[in-house]
Amino acid sequence: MTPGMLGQLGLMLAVFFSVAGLVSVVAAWVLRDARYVRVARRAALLAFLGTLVAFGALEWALLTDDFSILYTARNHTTASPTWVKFATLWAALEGSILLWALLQTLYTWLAGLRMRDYWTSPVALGTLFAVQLFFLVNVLFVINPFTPVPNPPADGPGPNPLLQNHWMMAVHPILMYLGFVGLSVPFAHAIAAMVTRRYQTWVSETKWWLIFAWGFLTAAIFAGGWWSYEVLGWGGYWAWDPVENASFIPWLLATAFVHTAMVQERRSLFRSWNFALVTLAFAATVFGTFLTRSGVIESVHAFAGGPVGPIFLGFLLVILTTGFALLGRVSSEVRDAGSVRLWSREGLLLLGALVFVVMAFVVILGTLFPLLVEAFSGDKVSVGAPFFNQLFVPLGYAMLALMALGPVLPWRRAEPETLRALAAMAVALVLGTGVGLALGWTLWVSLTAGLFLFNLVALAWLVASPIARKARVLGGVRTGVGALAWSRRRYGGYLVHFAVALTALAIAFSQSYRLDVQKTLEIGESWQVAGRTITVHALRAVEESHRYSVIADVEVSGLGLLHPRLNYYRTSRTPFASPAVAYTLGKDYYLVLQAFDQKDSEWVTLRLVVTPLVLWLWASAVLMVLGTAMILWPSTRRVQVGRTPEVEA
Amino acid sequence: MRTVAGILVALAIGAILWWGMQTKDERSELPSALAGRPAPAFALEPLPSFRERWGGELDLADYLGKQPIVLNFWASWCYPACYEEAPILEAAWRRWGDRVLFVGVNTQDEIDKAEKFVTQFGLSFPNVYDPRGKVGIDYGMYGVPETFAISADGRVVRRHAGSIDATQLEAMIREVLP
Repeated sequence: MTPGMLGQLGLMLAVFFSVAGLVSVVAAWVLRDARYVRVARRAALLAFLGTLVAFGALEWALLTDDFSILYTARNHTTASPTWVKFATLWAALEGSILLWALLQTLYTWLAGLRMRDYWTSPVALGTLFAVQLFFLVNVLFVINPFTPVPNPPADGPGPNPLLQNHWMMAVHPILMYLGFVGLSVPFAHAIAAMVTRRYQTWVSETKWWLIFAWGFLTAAIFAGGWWSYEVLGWGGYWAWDPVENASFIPWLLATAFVHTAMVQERRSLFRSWNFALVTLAFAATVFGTFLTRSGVIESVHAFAGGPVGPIFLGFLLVILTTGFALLGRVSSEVRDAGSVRLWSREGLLLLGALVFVVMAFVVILGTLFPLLVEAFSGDKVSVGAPFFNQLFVPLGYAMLALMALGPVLPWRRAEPETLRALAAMAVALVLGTGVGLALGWTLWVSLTAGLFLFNLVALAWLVASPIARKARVLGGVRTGVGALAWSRRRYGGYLVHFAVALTALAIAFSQSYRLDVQKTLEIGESWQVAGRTITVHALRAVEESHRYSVIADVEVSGLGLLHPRLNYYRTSRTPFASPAVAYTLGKDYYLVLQAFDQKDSEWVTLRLVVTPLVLWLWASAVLMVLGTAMILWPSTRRVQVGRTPEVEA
Repeated sequence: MRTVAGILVALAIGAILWWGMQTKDERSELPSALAGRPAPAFALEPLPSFRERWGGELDLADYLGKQPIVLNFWASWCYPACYEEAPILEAAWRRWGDRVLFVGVNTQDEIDKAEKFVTQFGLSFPNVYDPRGKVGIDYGMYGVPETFAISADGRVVRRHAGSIDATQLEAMIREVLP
């Protein structure tokens, strides 16, 4: 048995069991027999195992340098270090779709285990089977990584050098796919709810999956930003690159949905909104995949254009058409019964969702605008950061304000007791902005600082007032604090909000106060800049199996030695700069080796970027993931209630 | 009504994206900074199987300005592009070899893997060994494979990046033939 044969076998089994699962759920739906759902669940597990075998086979081929299959011959090299060999699986088109299929089958299986509703589960499971079948059929028939190579080469070119430059490349795509693929579960629940016309329970059934996927999307976007910062060597973390945008659009729509879903749960409002949002969010993940794999846009992320472009475009249109056709059919039944006051929690949640939808629209427009212009006038234009920044700054402020106000206001209508909180928040806003201006910060940065405090006061009030209330009722502050554990989910949400406010602060400072300078220094020479002394001690070359590197040893006073480097890979003439970053709580010192004396190694050209608060961006990512985990962690109380009798018996 | 509008919007988006997919061409004719300038000379050791016929060193300067030259940069790890064009290059050499000199520059490779490649395609035009890829730098090459056409008066005339097909190669050769 060779890796190629094993991979083909695994894929065939996965397709077979996906078809079997699909047939079973159709039988369950037509015959109204829940036993077939159980059969489908087993098929889901077997389809996952089949895909896992294919995944394992491709890893086997990569780790043993087997070039007899197309994927390794094109994308692998014996020179790669082991971790790069492992991650090469998702460094190119075929493997990345195989990883996608693997995660999709995993989600189908796990989500199927938790589906309890007799009416909706056949449709929801069927939707997931259809989606996974789409990916598996593509991997097996259109872009098969296991296609045999008649005369295998002795070595291959290896993966894209950019992907070999940082270990984050082994992590970021998996996080991203876990988020992207995870959104298929809420989509499946929504389709099931619309097909069966059972609108009440789907949101609470799917909420856990939605937040789960949201958490991974969030982590993936920050991880991508960090990779960009640490690898691309331009000193920034977000460039409005089309594919960054493609990951941001589903995040924005999913975030909108997370909030409107709460309103549907509490007040049964926004029901058609939620169907539309979840369809758009899932479609946006496919849109992102289409953009990266069709050659439509040019980007650091783009894979070589293959035959899958038209296929993904078709899939995207099928998703949109299915979702909106079903919504059109049921829209008269899901019209909102109650009315929404603007000045209430649901009113502001709706407004917040609108802000996110507008943001998503702005990103879509900015990403596709160059294509539109080229289609109609033939001119090549590029939509850069200024367009996005101009629109995102006001939208971001609106989001920051709503994010603080929404949770403070009660459901239905404002009550007098919240007025005191609002007054305190207003004072914090004015004070924060005023102090910022007095310190000489720009208006935008000061306003962000004001809104950060605005959020902080709101969160403080939200945390303190229930404790005070509990303490009044139960007696003693400690009992009140103990009550915190009872609403872990709510505090998880507050933590995420705090982290978003912190992100805004970090973005405002890092975008506004940036020092970017460049200088050519002799070896041994010192440079006084940004309050530090930078000394170049040495320039040396290091030969590794997969690359050749030129490294400068640079001392930054108070921060120690940094090693910015230029890496040369054989597949590319242009060297790849690996910056060296010294993080501090206040500012980052980011050094890039721009050029060096190739003849006598006597000088280097260094670029120094000093950016404030970037560390806090990464810290807030960690807080967001923690907050999400708090929301998702299974509730221990409910489990205990169920188990207590057994324990006592 | 709303359904019709929705379908129209979806079709419009689909049409634009479809159009976007069709218009991205692969440009393989790259302008060379060397275009019209004298081709850089080099002297390198041929791969083992060519030493009997071409000696221990092939110096391009011996041929520059005397006859047209096709220079092809390749490597054994360059799959699939170099594997696709190798038979085409060999066929062209057999057809025009009496009037045009073909030189393969094996770039950043290992000698045994390069030899295996030569044997696999039965290459009979001279191939030299450049493990550090220095000649590629002189020619401003981006990455293997790349093919350069040098006229009989020793100037770089055309450059092709990526795998070359028979028609493109023939056009290139006809341009430098006297």
